[in-house]
Amino acid sequence: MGERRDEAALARFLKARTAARTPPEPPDALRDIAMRAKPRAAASRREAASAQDAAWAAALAACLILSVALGRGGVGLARSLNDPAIAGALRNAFSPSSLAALDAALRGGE
Amino acid sequence: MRGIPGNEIALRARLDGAVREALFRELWTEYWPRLVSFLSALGLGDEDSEDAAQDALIKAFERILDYDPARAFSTWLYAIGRNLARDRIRKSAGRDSVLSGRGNGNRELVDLAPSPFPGPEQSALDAVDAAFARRFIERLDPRDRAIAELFYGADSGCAEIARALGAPTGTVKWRLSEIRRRLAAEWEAGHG
Repeated sequence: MGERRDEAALARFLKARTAARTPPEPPDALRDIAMRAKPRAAASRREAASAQDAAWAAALAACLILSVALGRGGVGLARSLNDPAIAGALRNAFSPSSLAALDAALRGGE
Repeated sequence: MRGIPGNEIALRARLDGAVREALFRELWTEYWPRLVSFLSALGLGDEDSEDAAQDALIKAFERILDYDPARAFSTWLYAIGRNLARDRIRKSAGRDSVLSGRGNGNRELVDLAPSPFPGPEQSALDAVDAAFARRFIERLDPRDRAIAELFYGADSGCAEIARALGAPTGTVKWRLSEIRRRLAAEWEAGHG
């Protein structure tokens, strides 16, 4: 590039036009951004880890609730579901399909 | 037009906040004008180009630790700018001002550009060449204009331009050869 006069003229024009653009003062937010810069990938990993922790906590809670329900002398989840507190806790801990599958499995054991 | 090397940007970005802030200020000064030229070439009006350049730089700074120094910083930044430009053009679709306003406000800037060649005769020749170049670049469609802007105005290579525009390298090479052919023909017609 630069051998041909036409290309040299075009390059000179474009570079002069860019050089003539005066950048404005950077925004005040620049300092804040500089202070809190963090890699997006790492942030995503942290978010994923946090979501996983929450899932484990929910599963643990569900196990505890189930053990209480079963320890009440009932082998069927259906019976335990008559207790509003247990039923509510279970609904919060499991998806409807998981709950139905659990119920079916426990009914089968009666 | 090669600025701070990519490795240096990546390193300084990982030091403390004050170092990072100084880096951002340098990058702002260096890349804001180049981004405005690039975004303007893509079809944004002057005001939109300036706003989008600021947004792109802020976005790049917020994600500076994601920057991979194996690639040119300008390419990474241009890709961010291109996405913002696309969003703006999409949002403004139907508004004539966005596409028809491009380039018109640059004349004063061109006239203010310092000439590296002193003397009245040379200045007159420069003015003629600049007028030719301006007419030529303004008549290109946005895609070709962006390619010409990066190739001639920012000394970017075909692979770098392809990454910045999200286009295949072969397409960029093909368009560039068309631009060069057209440039030669128009130059010949005007100066021959």
